[in-house]
Amino acid sequence: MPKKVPYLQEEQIERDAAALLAEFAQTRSVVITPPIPIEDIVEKYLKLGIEFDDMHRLLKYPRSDLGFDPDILGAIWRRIVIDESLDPEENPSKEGRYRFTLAHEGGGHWRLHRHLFAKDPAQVSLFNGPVPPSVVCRSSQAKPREKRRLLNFVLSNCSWDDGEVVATFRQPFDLLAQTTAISTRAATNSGPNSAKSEIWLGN
Amino acid sequence: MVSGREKFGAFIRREREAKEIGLREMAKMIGVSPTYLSKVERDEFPPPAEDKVKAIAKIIGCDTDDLLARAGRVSTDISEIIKRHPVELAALLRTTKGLTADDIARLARRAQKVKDE
Repeated sequence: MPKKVPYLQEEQIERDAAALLAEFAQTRSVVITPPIPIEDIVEKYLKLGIEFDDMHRLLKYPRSDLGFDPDILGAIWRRIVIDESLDPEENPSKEGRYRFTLAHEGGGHWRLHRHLFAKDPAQVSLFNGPVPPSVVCRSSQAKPREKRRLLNFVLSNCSWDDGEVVATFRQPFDLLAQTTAISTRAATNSGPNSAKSEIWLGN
Repeated sequence: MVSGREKFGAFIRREREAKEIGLREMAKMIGVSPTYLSKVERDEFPPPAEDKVKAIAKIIGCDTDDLLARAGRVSTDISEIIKRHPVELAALLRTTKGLTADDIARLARRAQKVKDE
């Protein structure tokens, strides 16, 4: 069941983040320099285990089918479970998002919201039973059905021609596309200020 | 696998966490992806190959043969020894059935003495 989370000012969150870094540095007798050792902070200081899994399968939540990015990035069941598509060793390009999700779950939700979590010993492990996670973090609030509808709409105006997707613009988008193309050409020819092309003013 | 014992994955996760080794850190040490190790630790995937199990045993500081047994395996060198004298060694192993771990250790010490003489 959704739980109401009290609003926190940005300054409060920043203060807590700074406090967490200071606590970690003091406890481990280290000087923190970028990149922030977020895995060590989460696993060795906050004592939260990290796991990777297919979050959509786990939570029986269908993927939106738009690209390969998951809608659910991570969740907490006293352990942080990260969607396996963010595995930084298998997908090095996801390193940033993986680190961000870890910090978001551990440094954010665990630090700031754990007093709101159910104090149910059964939640110690995700795999002890069908216990819902304390926090589920999604990349977007848009419903998959809505995303699918938009994608269908876009693709219904496209055709496949010699290995390329060709968009067919209908009125009034044809005029808009034409205007944009002219504007882009003008920008290429006459430098950075040409974005203010008069073509947008019309007749 | 030895019955009644903690499963392989749960055991290595507990030992890894007790030694404060991160999931990604350990995955790197044994040359697998964090996702794979995570699934092994949840006993969702079977234990990895023998060389990886041996590497894990070294990292978490436990007996290699014990960890291999948890993984439901017998070390390749043991299999080779048995294959060389299958009848005699099968008979020897059968005689140890019902003996305690201490009894077997005593037997091993005696065998070593005979070998040294």
